Amino acid sequence: MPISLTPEAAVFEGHVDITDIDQLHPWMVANTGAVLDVTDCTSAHTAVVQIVVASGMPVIGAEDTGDWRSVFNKPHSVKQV
Amino acid sequence: MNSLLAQFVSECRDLIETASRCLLDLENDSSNKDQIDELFRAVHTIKGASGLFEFKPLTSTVHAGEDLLDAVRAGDVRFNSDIADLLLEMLDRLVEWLDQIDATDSLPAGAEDTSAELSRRLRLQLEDGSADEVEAEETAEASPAFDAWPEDVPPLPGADKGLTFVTYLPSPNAFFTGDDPLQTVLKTPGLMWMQIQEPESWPDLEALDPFIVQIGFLAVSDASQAEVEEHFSYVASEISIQTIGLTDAPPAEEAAPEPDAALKELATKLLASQKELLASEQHDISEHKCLESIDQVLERLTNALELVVVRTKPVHDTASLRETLEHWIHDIEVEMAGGAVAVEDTEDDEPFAPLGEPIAAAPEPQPAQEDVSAEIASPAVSTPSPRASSHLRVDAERVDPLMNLAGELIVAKNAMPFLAQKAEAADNAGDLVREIKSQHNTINRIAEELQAAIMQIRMVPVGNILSRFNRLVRDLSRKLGKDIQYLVDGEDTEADKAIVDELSEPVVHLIRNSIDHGIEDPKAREQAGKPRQGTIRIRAYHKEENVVLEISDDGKGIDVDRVLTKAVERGLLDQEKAANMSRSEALQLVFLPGLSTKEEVSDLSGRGVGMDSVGSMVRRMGGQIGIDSEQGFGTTVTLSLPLSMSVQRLMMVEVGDGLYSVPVDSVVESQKIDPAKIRRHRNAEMVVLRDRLIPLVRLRDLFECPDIEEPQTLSVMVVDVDGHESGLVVDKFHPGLDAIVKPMTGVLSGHQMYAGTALLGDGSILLALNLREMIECQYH
Amino acid sequence: MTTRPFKALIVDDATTVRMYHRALVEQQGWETVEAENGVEALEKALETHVDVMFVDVNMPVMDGYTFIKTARQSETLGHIPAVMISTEAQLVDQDKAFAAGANHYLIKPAAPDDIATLLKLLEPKELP
Repeated sequence: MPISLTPEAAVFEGHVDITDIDQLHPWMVANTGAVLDVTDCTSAHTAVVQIVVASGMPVIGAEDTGDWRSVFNKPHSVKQV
Repeated sequence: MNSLLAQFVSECRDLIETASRCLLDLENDSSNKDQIDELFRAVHTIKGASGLFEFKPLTSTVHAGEDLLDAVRAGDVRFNSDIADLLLEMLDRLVEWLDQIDATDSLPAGAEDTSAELSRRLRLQLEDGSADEVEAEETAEASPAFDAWPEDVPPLPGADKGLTFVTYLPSPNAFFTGDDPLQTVLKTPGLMWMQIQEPESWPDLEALDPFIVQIGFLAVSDASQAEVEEHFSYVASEISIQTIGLTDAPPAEEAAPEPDAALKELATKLLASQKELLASEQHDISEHKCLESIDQVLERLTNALELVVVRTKPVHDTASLRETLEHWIHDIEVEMAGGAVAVEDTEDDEPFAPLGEPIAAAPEPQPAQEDVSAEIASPAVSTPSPRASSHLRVDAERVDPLMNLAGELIVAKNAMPFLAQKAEAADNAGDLVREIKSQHNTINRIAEELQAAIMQIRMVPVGNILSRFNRLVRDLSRKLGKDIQYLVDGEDTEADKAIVDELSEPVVHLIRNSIDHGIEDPKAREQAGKPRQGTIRIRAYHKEENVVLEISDDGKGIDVDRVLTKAVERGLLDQEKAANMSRSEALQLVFLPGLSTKEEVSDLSGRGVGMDSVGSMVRRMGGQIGIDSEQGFGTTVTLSLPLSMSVQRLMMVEVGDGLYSVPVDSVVESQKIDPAKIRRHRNAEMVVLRDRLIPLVRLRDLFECPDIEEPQTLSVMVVDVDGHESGLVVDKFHPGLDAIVKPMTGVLSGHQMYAGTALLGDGSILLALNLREMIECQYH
Repeated sequence: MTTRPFKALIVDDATTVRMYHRALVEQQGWETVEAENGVEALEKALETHVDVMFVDVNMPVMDGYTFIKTARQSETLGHIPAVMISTEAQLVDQDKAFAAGANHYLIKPAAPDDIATLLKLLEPKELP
């Protein structure tokens, strides 16, 4: 299971696919004060990233990774060295 | 077509051949690292060479293939039959395109679409593996006019040279077509920066339809525009692409290009390279020579730029040369910068600041320790190239001069007995004679060793050729709805390159025969109680001084009776003879011209497409061919070929005023016979020698020499050709000798009667007789 | 004053690439000698005087690095300027090139202008 959901946090693990939106979306609507943890997320479908960006929910585990996960942080950009 | 293009086409064809062979081998053993490397190398070379032409669709297709193979090589993507099929398809497409280029100098219309589609599928395979960033290998042709640097994009390295900028607005329904736009963006070749573009405002989260794409992407890459374009070719209508640059940063240089700006720019680079080389670690003579080469470069560069900086004094020891060069580079840099600082440099002993870094890194100017120099002293063993596996690829071109050298040495050797003879005529020359003779022995030994060594270089495994036919069998059998496996045993068996190269043609014919007419379709095989899958097996091995190839199939075999009937019908032999013929003798009839024409023999025997021509190909190479077949169980054709075209022991004979040679192996005996003993039967002459009836061939007649009076005794050389003895009537016998018989070239090459020429010690030329042709000629 | 034609040695295993470089070099009025690997290049360089050597990296039999290393140990060839031409743009390859003794490094396929300019800079002094 790539996402585990608690009222406080959604933890992404491995590849999070578009099919996981079915669970994620209602959870987001119900838990607007929660955070998203992408520390162990290896890749995510565009739809997942889109909904995260749209929700404006705080994301943890994406700071200073220097990799693609930077898209979760504002200004949603990735710079590769 | 210009010659560069023609060369490209032909080189690509060879590489495609190599690539397909590797692919087919990989299908059997996908873990073979060498094969993958060789395959990659072939595709890489095609891509590299294609970059020289305006065949973008071709280049980008091959590039996609290369990237895929690179990932396979790195272990990121596992090789499987889908990949093999796709790559084979790519190769087929390349062949088509090359054919078209051959004919029209350009790619067919629609190549772009084909390429985009094929590249996409190749890249799809790549995506199944890991997200490997595609390295930006090609340097973009920096077009001087860039678009302005967008405000959203942070400054990036290389901005002054221009970078590729993509705006990607995926269609709202992109998710339904299986797209994952973010992944596509992240995999952009040479990606340096990307950003998600949000819509003006987001709806309430609850009202958001997460399956409609509402975001867009910006990306900057240092790969070429074409490369990026190709990466996005699948969504071409949803992207816009530009080359952007920070043009305002260095406007002075860009705007006013001095006529020698390019010269100066490159000179600066070249100078930097010299500093690099100066700083690199070199030892002993290499160090000194590197410094000398820098000296050369600096001298030429100063000259070309018409700088007034000159090297102060000629120096010879390494340490002071290094010092001189350091100063020189500095002076040039100062001069190129406008000479402003030149005054500072009046004090010559001053420590040398501007070059500080590289010099600090430089080794002691003293010659280095012994141990390292020993390592460099054996350069031949370092850095194996990827192609070199267990054997070196040696080009025949490079070996041929050696062959000739060996030939000359043998000629020199042959000159010795002449010399000895001459010396013998003089008085008191006994010692001299002995000496010359001993010298002759020495040269002889060297020549033989040299010869053997060279032969070894020329030896290549027959597998080189045989493995190529994998594809032929695969394709042809599929086309005919047959299921056939192709097996090769003894592919490591070696033979001279010339022989191996020539092998291909007859073997292709034989394999085609087996597939076409030998092996039955799966149904028929099942009915005959055989496995559905047929087998073509080639066995290669050495036997005595020959390389033997057995091409066998487990097909329906040959109906000997029908071969005989047909031969009689055709008037190739009479009824009585046919009745007395052994099975094996009868089978050999398929090699007769006139018996095996395509239509008749294929239904008659399931075999025989141009068997006579296969036979003559093999004989032309100095080989022999035989056939064995059991009806219902299959057919085996055996080719036996000489290992090499090496030095031969020759017998010399004189006819008219010419000297001719016959390979000593063919000679049974030499006899003087009484002309009265000649018997005449019809128009043929024969003689009985030790209870054997030997037909005579008068070479004088054959060579149309003027008639002479019949001598008292006739000189007859009995030769054996394919087990049949004939007596050659010549004017005179001469001693034997060793020589390399070279095939005839030019206008003489059409003369079937001669196998080639050999050079004699006294410089005269000897014609080597082609006995088989000559004797056939006598009878027809 | 009569000018001696300058001569460049072009070493690459791909015939097409060799022809391309040859054409570029000859456009500048230089003569060329070609070799398809390091060993052949050594032979060619020893038998005819060359002024510059353009050397591919990746070749069978003997690669470009080894060729330059070997040439640098030769009394007769050591001083000749050598330019490596390779498809690999990585810095590590450049370092290897200099470590082998190359005087310069170009990316393949070399742009016609680069070759032209380089040859201008590397034109030997006229011999009397």
